[in-house]
Amino acid sequence: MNDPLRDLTRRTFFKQVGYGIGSLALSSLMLDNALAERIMQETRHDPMAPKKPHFAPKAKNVIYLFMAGAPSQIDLFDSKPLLVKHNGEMISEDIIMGERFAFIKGTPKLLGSPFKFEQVGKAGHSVSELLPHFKEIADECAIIRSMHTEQFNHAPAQLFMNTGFQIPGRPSMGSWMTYGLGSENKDLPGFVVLMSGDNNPDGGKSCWGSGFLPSSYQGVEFRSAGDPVLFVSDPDGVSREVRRDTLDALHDLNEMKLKQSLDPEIETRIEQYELAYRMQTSVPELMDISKESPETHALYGTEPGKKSFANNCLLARRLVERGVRFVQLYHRGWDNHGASEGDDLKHALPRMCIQTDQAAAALVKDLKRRGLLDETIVVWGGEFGRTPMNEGRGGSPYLGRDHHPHAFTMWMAGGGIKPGLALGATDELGYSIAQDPVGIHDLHATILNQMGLDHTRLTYKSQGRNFRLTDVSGEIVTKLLA
Amino acid sequence: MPLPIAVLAGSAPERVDYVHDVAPMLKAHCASCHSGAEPAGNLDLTSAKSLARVIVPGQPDKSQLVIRLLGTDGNPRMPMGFAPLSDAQIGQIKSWISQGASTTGVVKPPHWAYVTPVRPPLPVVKNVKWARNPIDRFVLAKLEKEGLKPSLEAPRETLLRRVTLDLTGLNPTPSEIDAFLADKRPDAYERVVDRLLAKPQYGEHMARGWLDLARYADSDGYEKDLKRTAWKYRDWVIEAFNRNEPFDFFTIDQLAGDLLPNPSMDQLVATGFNRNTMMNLEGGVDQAEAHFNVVLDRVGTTGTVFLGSTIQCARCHDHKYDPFTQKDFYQLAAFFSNAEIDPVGSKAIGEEKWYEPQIEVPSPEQAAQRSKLRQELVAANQSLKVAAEALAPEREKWVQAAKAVPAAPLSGAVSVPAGETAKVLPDGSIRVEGENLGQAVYELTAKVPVGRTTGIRLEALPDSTLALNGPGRATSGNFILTKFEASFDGKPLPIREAAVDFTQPGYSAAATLDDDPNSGWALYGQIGKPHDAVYELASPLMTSGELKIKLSMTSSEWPQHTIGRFRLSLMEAEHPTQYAIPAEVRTLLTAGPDDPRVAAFYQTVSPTLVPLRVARDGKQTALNQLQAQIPTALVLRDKPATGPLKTNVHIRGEFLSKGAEVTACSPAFLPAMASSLPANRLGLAKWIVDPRNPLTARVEVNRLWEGVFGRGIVETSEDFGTQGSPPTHRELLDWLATEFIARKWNMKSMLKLIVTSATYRQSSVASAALMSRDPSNALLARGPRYRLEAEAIRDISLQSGGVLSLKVGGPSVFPLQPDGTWDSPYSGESWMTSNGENRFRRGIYTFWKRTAPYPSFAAFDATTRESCTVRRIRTNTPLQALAMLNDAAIMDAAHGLARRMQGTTGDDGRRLAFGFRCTTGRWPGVAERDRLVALLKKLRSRYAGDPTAAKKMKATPESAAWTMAANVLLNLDETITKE
Repeated sequence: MNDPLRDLTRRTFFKQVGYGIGSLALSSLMLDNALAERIMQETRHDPMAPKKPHFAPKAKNVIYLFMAGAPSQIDLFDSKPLLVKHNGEMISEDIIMGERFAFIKGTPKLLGSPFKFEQVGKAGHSVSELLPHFKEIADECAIIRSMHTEQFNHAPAQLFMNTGFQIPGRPSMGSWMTYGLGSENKDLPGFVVLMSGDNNPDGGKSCWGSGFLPSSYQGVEFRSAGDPVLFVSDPDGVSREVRRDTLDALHDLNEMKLKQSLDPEIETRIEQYELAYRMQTSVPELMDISKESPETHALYGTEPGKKSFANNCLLARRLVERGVRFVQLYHRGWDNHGASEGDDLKHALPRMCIQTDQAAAALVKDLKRRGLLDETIVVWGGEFGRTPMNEGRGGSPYLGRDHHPHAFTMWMAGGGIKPGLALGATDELGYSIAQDPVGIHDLHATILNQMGLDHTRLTYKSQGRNFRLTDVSGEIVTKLLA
Repeated sequence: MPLPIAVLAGSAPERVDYVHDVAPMLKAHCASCHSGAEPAGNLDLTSAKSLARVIVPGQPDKSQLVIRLLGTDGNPRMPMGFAPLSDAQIGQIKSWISQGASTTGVVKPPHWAYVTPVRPPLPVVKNVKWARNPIDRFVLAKLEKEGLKPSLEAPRETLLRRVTLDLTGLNPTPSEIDAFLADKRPDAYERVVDRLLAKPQYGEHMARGWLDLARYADSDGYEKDLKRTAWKYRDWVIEAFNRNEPFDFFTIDQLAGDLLPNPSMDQLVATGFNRNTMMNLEGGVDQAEAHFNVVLDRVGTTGTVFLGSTIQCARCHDHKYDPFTQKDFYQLAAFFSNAEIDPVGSKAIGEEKWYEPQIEVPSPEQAAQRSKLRQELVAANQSLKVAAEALAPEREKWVQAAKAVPAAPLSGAVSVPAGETAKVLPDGSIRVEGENLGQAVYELTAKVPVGRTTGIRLEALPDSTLALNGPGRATSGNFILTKFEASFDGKPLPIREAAVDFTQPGYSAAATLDDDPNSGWALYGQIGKPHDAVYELASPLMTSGELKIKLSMTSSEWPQHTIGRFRLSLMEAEHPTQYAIPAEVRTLLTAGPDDPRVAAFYQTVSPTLVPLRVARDGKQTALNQLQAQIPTALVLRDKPATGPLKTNVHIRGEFLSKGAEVTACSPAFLPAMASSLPANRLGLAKWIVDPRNPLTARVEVNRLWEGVFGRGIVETSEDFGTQGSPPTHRELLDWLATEFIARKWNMKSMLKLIVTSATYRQSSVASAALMSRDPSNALLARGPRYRLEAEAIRDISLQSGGVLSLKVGGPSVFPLQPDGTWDSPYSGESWMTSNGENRFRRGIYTFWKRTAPYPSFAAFDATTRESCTVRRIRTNTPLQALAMLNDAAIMDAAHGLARRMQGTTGDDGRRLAFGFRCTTGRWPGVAERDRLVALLKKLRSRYAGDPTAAKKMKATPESAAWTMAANVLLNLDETITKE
């Protein structure tokens, strides 16, 4: 009974019954109270109505800072003294035998990080000099140095990280989350996406698409320019009063139709128009960060009206404050191949860090002081890692690293994730994982778990089979949990 | 079945059968670990023998199988890592063990959809009079069995709008409504159906759904998501529906048009069906793996579209529920394994791309025009050749004249910018020295004696004091002469033509005569050599007077590109431009007119050849321009087969894990391919449309049914397997399938049968009792009521506004969309909003970019077309409301509808009623009309009191009020709903 259309129809039916239009009383239909309750819950006509999780959750919201392009773990979080020592030497053929690289050809040379690392926080995380602000939140974060993925090109890897599958068409994590839990804010979408950096992510809008789930669960882009949400602004020359007049008339006319045809879809539509009207106020109110205190602006490095990662971090806090379930920030530009000065380690990578470090740290601090960090998981990371070898594409003199799916670093904070933890390790060259590997499906299973969802039970039937975010694998990473 | 009926039915404990009930459950939940060569715990739960080890017949609670499924012994609950089996499932297993755990079981007949349909007899019904055609007999029989009565026929306006939307995706026009209401003939409705089926908009409407199946898009997908030219396939689909191509041919053309004997251009274009797959062109992608995914998509899509089967589930392992094996899947993949591929780009830098073929598809007019131009080009070349062979006499004269050309240099006063100086050298040339100020104008003023001057020669000369020997003063030795002007006795001297012996590409002699301060004559490529420019006067200069020559070098892009050394002289020869001769040729003149190098050069300047060459070049340009307009299409084409088509099984569906080799073959459990069929895609296509194939006809008639009733007889129209929903009217489906084949796969004929049935004509208004009895209308005791598809919503909005273009076919268009919707990395492509008619085309023509779908379509559940979609899920969201209220495209339509209402006669109520009829196809009731009048009154006073608001809308206060009333009419639930 998982067919989407049938579900919607069932919803329709029970809504009728619930409103007393049906000729049969609900109780006489139901075999037992538990079933009745389950069906009543499932058949709420509003797809975004809050739903009960599978078990008591540790967190209510997720803020996912997606560093599109794949930051270099070796220059930020995964210090490798041995790699520095052997800098410039050819890598052993044994290590790369049978390996497919995106751009490296022949036998590449090892590349030690040109940046200094230091031990920070009580936990003594080893962190690069490029992330001075991260130091201040290091003790709130769990660093996972043993992430691995299966994809080594941007678009498929971003899709894999977001949807659990490398080909477009599956629902994204945020869609699964809102499908499973609904949203607590009735005036805003449950899954919001914010964009900054040099471009949109390579995986395109499928990164926050709803796949085969109903489109009500897809991520809604809040944009920095033009309408913050598509079509949210009244057309030129339409005042709020005129809008209200037209909506009142629309309401009355639709109501007349409802009385005649009894189609419950009409009633749903009437409600959606009212919600739309409220969104026209709530969205601009949300996007207006000018009234935040000067101290807050200084903390994040925000400037009202600008398209920046910092502004988006502040918006993310405002969104979870208002009960938005899943907020995802994309900041693209981490693809440091070293093909030119524009994308190398010495110039481009520090620039990316300056754009993101302060605001990401500010977000964690701000959530904490507002008491929101306990119920919000902050996730930071890219779609794969970067090679311990210099790419040297076409003999480029600039330092850079190719795509590396076998090992990379992410960090998480809040929402019941163990603060100050350093999980996993790579080998001495940073090539392979030496300890506690964490796959993408494991990460998904863990995040869902913190939200009170069992990844094996959060399923949806499409094209003849039950799908889930974690496909056919995924283990909860219990070591990560506080 | 809808829940209430299932729930009411109740269930008595039944005998549980191993083959039918237990084995599929174990296969689905346990076999991924507990089967195969090395089953987990050495326990193979797909083998009855192995299963016996964990069962105590008659004692479920002592059976290890049950204990582990319940997880009651302290060990992890099975299946490990997956959701436990439901209580009902475990209950069934327990019952089966209690009943003795027999594994022999009764062999159940195969799943209904895998048995070729047999035409059922028409059922007996009581209310014979109601039935208009056999469809109604089946529907009525079921209703009578359930104790239900069909609904009354829908009102005529409602019926007309319903059938017009269902067959053309558009509203009936007011005059079409009037005509139908006035037509009292008994077959008036059938006539409407015939009229609609004959409209070109029928094909557009039908193609809309098919393009979702065919995952048609105008971009490649993935990262760059570049544009592709694929619309010829879209137009082929539209035309195929319009000419009513039978479904079997429709299928064969798309799957294997290229393999037909002497395929037509259309049949090649049709193979675009399988070229609509995405292409990952991201740098560094393993193209073999990308192509592997393309092939697998072709297999899955073929299975879904034509067989209603979820074959793609067998990519990684045998299908868990249906009899498709992994081997079946790869045997089907083998049919697609021989595609022609052209690798382009460098593998060494990770930029190799695998392209499949594209062909040119000229229209008949273009083809005729092209062959005409080609013939003319051949003729022009021939004339040129003939004339060139007869040049000897005039060439000899030219050599004599050319030898005489170095005439006395013109001398006179020279002016150059302040800070620069002009030095006259012994050979009469002038060298500019001093600063190089960036931009410069040189002027020479000289007295001309009586004589005959036909042209002015400008020599740009090398000089060892200049960088790279000049002739320019730029550090590259180059210059850009941006303008040449001359005047005589203070009057401008018209120049007929300019010629140079050499010019840098992108620059020209002619560019020194225009007013563009950046275009001109430049020499990169032949620096350090002397060069000639000759300016032919419009009419010869005969009298004496003062000649002023002005050389401008004013490029702002390339400052300091001024001439370093030059010489001016007057020419008296006829056609002086033929004496702009490169220095190398000039030195050869002494070798005589028959020197081949001299002869070759002369051909380029001969006054006899020049007009012939201009004519030839004109033909070439016209041909090139035509060529650029000829559309292309992506086609599927096989390499010459070198034997049976083979591929490998890929273990777990992974590209790098190759398993056993398999040969192209149809799935084992379906009727076999006839041995007379070729073992390639053509054979596969013919096997699909073989009347013995149990799936194809059922799947397609079910889709036609779904298109008008909103849900199929098999609700899961993408899955006819055991996990799909069972048909609500199994016999009706089989009757329709056999009828479809009997009618030679005629789609229009089947649609006419369906929409002329009494079943279809019922009112969609439900009584409360019926609504609660059958909320999803599975029993069809009423007509369909559904929200329209995204494209139809746009189309009827524009149609209501009177601005919809009905142009059929052509390249995809770019109607208004919000700024910033397109932004793919590395693509550089942008949305250039179409002008004129193309802004108001039907939705099917909107450019479909996979990673950035058209926003208002995405809001209304259109798919991304990344992969095949059979059914769009209908949602009802606030984003839809926002799109309908505020989208500029809808506001365009509202302005149009306002103009139409204001343009009709009558009072406000009458005009608003007209608008209401435009959007909903009926007159409003009194209450509805009064509400609209009250709204208009209020809007009028708002806009009268706030004239700036109307101005912002680019309207008068009166028309602003009408526009917002029109906006309400476009937003009505009834407007965007078919009922």
